[in-house]
Amino acid sequence: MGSGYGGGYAPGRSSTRGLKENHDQAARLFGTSRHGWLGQPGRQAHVQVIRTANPEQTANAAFNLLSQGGQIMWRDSGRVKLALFAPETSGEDMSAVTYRQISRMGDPAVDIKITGPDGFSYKIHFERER
Amino acid sequence: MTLILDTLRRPELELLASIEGFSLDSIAGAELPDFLGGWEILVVTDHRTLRIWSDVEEHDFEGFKEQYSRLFVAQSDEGLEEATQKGNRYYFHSGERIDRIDLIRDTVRAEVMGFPTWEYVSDVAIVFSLSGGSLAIRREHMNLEVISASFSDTARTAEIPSPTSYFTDTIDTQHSFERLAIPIATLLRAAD
Repeated sequence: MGSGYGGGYAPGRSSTRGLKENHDQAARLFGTSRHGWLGQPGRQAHVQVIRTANPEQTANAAFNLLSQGGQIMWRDSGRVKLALFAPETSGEDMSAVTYRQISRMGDPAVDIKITGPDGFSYKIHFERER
Repeated sequence: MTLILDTLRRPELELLASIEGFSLDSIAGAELPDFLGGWEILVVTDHRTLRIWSDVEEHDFEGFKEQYSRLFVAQSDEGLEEATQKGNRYYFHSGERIDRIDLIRDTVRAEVMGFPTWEYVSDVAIVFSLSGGSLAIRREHMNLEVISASFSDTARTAEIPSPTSYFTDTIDTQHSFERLAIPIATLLRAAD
């Protein structure tokens, strides 16, 4: 399962609303395309791409911004990170952001799930600029 | 047609079966917040403590590589002391007997250009029927290792929400979904 676990809690916004606000902030920084998702459309319907000179650094920055106020956990020495946000209403799913240092494409990836009536779920691959 | 079976293995089913008839003490996790979500949850009973967690595995049955989460079960109380010290141990329905455990097993089927192409079968929740209610531990996303626990005053295998997923219908690919609630005891008998 990995070489260790850890975590922390940043007090303040910890609900789905907080993640929505973080996503709005990230949109101003990274830009958006279809559905208001961060980055540019990727090959699959659920995948977006952000091209950058330093994919790992940019992916970390995106996770750090999106995870503000969430319950943050990590494992595999920080190669996988998870931030959870409490549901707005009882019985609803949590909202979540994950960071994966190495994704299926070999690049870092961030997954975002925002619950609620305007919710969405998608993945961002961070690719090196050519 | 490609069949992908991401279900609990027999030793995991046997571990779950081993706590049937015993009493639930608590659920816990070193980093388990009060909204009861994370990637691992300890189920503490008066017989043994089980660790239920989720991790991702990579498959390419959709025509591209993607990660899919899976439930795992092991006997372990690692992190229980830390959880207790941090106040991350929750005693809802404590002392109630675990009468039965069901798996919620979802099947997703895809037809590409009208032809059945793949079938993905995975366990999405474990439902503990208690003498005074129920505890459900479930995947909240088919592709992310996020699980949550919830308690109810009633038995409720029929009320477990479907996990979010990245399965998306397109002009040439359509998905269909099917759900079964299967008692652990039945699965074990079938495997004999």
